[in-house]
Amino acid sequence: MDSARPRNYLISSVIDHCLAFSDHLEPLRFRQYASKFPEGLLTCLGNFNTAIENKLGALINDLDFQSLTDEEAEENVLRYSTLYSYLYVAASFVERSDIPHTIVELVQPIKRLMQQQCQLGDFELLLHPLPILNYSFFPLGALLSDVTTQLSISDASITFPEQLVTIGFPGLETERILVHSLIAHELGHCLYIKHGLEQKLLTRVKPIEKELDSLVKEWAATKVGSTEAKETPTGQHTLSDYISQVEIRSLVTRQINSISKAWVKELTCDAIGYCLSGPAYLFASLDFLTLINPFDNDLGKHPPNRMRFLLLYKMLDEEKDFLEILDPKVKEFLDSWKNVTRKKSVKFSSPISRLAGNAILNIYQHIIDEATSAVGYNGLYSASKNTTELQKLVKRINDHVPPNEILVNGVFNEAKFQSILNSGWLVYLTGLGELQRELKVELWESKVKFNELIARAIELNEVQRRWKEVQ
Amino acid sequence: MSIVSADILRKLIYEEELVITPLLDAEKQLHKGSASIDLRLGTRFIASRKGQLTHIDVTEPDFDNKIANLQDTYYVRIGDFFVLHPGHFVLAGTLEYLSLPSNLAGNVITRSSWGRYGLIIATAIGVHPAFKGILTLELRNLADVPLKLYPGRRILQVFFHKVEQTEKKEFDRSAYLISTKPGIGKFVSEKSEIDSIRNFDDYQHFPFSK
Repeated sequence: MDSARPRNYLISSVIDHCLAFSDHLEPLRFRQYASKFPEGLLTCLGNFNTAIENKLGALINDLDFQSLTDEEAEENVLRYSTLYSYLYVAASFVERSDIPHTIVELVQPIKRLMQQQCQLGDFELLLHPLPILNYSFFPLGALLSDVTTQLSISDASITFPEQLVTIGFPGLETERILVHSLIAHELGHCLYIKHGLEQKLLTRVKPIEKELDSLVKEWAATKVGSTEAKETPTGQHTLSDYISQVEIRSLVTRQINSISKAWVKELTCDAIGYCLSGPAYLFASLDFLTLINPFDNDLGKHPPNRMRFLLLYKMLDEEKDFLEILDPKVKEFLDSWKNVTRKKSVKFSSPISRLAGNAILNIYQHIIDEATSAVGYNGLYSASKNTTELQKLVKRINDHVPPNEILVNGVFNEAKFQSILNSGWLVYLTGLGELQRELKVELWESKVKFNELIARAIELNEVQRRWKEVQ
Repeated sequence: MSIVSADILRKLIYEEELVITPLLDAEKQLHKGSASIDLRLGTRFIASRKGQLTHIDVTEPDFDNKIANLQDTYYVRIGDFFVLHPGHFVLAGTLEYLSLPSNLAGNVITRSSWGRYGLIIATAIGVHPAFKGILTLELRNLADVPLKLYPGRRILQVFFHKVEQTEKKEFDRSAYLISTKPGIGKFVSEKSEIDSIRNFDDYQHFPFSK
């Protein structure tokens, strides 16, 4: 067979995929989104797709290309077809972030928080449902930017900001706005990358040498048999013992580093979540994480819940003025979880995770400090500094009015986005009995209605802010 | 009953006796010397999925849920628009959330400027004392050209009047209490009345039972 034929078939096949992609993008342009970003992204993806299609089309009649070996030709085509698969991923995020599927009330306030308060001017967000009971973060901008650089598609005139992210939330819980305070953890991933916190924190994780030595010796003994048996008549270890111990130490250290890397990241994102959202983040964590993760024992990339709550309670303990204003029911809720959290020491699933975990427990203050610094002065939310606002908002909610604003010296001022979530939790945790009696409905219905009231407050709050800006 | 002036409404709002939130532009919404407040179109619209909706019969069991599942909800961002075609009927809501004191009631009408282009926003909206929630609007375009509706525009006005109560008492709450989105009509509380009407018949009729 002529060697030019299969390579032309390959090109033709990739072009077909590009055309199908183009057809798929077209109706997405007519959907409604919570921000302008998806529309802009679709245009970029369309341009990108056209660029790939043109590049490949040009290759068919390119004599240089036809003179390449089959392997070289295939490599050339794959440069573009691989890129196409990334466009496909990006489009699928857009497809799932349209208005019926996203949490429309949250998109603009989160953008405002990250762009204005956390100084990430090029932050953009696609908020999309997941078919699983979890939250996720995906650095879409970094991915696309990396791919475009690698494949030198410069003629598509596309630049993707680094802070262009997608955040997934549990799709069946779209309406539970208060639980979505957990999105702050995913925003944490964004700041974690941006501020290079991994490098800053991992160097501080130092497992206790004595425990590490003891583990290495124990494992070495298991590997080569009893250490005593290997001792020379003078009582010294053989060379092979030491080689074995060096190998095991290296292996153990690598595993400790791997666990530390994952856990420090998760814990720092928790700390950032708290810095961004205040106690609402702890409330949501207690509601959600206890549902999906065991309280003790770790799950691979995530530390045990006990470690996470120890960190969050350490941060809550600093909010003394906030703790003063709590309703007894909320206080009881917090105290009961706090007692459970601090009652026992953290239990780990393996000696290695114990070594890593204990080392991380020793750097909690550093984690909090770095998280605070990454969030920045303007992004940091302190419930203690907002007790007056919270009390006024709680009163509004108890009057069954959305907590979007407060009256200060005869002027209605927009409440802080985070204060809306926190005041919502403060009332939610009191049980909603009064709301239920007022509405004469089942408790669940009153909870649904309550979440709608908070979502409405967030929407109105953002409308008020934007209105002032455009006047 | 006297109608409450805009100046009094403003006073009630700033004393937090009456809640109307957000009040994006108090000067424009509460004209000096007027006797009403202008409210804005909200961001959500509800339209029937006509291809699947055969009829509406409020006497059918579980009618509310059935109809609710045959509606499409549209969210339109402020800055964007919704086109209301001639003859089209959709539900929408006010942008503002209201909380009325127990001695105030309201009546809703279309702002006349819109009415002159054929827009009807409410056929039967009375706002009762102690009501809390957004107002659901029944939008219909009576003209013969489509109308672009922009959330955030002032399209209705509410006239408030004092209600004389002999004493502060428990209110028979509306089914639409604390609503934050427009909603379809609810007849749950009228079930016994609907049953009575369904069973309404001759006192005795042929064939007579023995």
